[in-house]
Amino acid sequence: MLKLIRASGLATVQDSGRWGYLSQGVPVSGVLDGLSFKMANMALGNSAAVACLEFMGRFDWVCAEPCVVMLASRHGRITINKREQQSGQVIELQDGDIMQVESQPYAPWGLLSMAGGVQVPLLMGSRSTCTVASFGGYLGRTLRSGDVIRAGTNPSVKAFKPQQRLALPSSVSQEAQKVRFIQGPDFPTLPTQTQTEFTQQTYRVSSQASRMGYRLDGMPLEIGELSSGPSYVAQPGLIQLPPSGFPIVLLADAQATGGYPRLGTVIQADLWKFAHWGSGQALRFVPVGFDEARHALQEQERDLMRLRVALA
Amino acid sequence: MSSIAFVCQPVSDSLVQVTARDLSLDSWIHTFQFLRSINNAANGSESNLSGGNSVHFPWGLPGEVEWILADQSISCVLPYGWQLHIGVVSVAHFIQHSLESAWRPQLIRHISKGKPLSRGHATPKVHSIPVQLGGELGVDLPEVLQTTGLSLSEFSRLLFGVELTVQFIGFLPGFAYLTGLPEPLASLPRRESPRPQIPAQSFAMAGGYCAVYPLQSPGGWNLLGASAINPFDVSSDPPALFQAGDKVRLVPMMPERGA
Repeated sequence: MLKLIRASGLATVQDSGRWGYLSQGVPVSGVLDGLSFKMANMALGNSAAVACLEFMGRFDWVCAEPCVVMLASRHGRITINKREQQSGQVIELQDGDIMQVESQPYAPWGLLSMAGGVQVPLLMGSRSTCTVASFGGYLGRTLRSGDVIRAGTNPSVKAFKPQQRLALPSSVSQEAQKVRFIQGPDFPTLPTQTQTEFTQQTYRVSSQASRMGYRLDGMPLEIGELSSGPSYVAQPGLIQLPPSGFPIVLLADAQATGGYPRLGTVIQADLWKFAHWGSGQALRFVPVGFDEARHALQEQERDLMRLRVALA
Repeated sequence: MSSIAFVCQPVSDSLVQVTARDLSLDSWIHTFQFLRSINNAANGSESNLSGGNSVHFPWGLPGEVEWILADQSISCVLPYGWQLHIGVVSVAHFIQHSLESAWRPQLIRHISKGKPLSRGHATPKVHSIPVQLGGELGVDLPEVLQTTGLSLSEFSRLLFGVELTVQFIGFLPGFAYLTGLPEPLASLPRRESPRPQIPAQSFAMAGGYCAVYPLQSPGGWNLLGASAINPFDVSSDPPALFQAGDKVRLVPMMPERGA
């Protein structure tokens, strides 16, 4: 059991998302870095259905009942009683231990996983916080000082031992990072210049970046005549082109429908990386086909399987 | 009408979109019901829609696809395991084939000869929704009456005299786009600059649609009044009060005495 004694930033309870409710207008929610989240759950012996804490900023906790935790985001900082620990490390907390976790501006979203998962009620098939409608997660809201987080029961023994360390993935780099995407149905109808400029220029993540989506800075694209069409289903990863000409990549908290022209959609295997990209990170979009997108996902799944086998 | 052509296109590695030219809203809703029955059949319950020839997804994989009706399109979201083991292209092909072989002939017979669709097509739910025009939440009503050139009683007669249809849900949880407005209400444009905060339960109209805001949110529609309903309730199953295809009649609600 963890009690939050200082909250400076934004933290919510998230899991792998609330799937199956887009038809009700409900955003998918869930962690932005689904890959690190899955790996941490395996290492802690959790089922894939548990929840964790996702945070941006600094959060200080006191342990009020022994529990096992892991900073599940590669680039965050974690200290226990002021002693520096590492991300991916399995940490046993005792009563009275003070834990500090902090995300970095260059990799803004941190994850804190607990053995047994963060225990909050399951609502519409998920424990994620739906911020726009204030339900799910911890009382439907972001965490505040004084909140108490309990861990669920943890039946599995196939897990890392305390002090063992999981190597978590990273996508932080000085160089422009490649984002593989599948061209959207509106792509061919956009001006030819826009089509080439979108994949040729280097974008930077702007300061307008939230769990709903990241607006990108670059040379504005010409939108042409098609400024807004019939409303379609929007999913995390969708790259929209609003009239401003600056693309927006939708993320977990995006609304369920959209109308701006669709440049494309980031492939599932690359979507986790956005959690590692802060304002100023350079990106380049690389078009790929359906086969390559699926192979990339299968490769990622094989890596996860190897981790699962290593734990068995 | 025999020229109905459905196009199933993978939009991403996890989403298939079905589009068709010039299909009426009723046909979209029927098609949506047909497609959803494919999903159900895969999970054990028999579909009645294609007259005994029920359509199943041929892959015995766990998980369920989600069908969503939007504006002149239907989308199908694949679960993770389907993305991995089947791939979005195969799913799109199967949907295309099902629409053409099992559904298109039925829909064409229904449209051109008035033949009923096979049983299993649920009659749509009809909602009666009280709306109070004007008042604190209806700040744009005077301006709208002026631009449309209607008196309040003419406006009310038009609004409360039609049956509306829930075309789709989107924008916010439980936000239902109600269509079927008569002219000149249907031609009412969005406001030039959106408002940063519209209170929950506001009744608003723009771009051929009207809606009741389920939550406080920004918005660019004309605010015409209020409705004392809750379009999104987490404890209900499904949580949205309105479902795509439902029918809605708005009924006048008198202001409370003394208000």
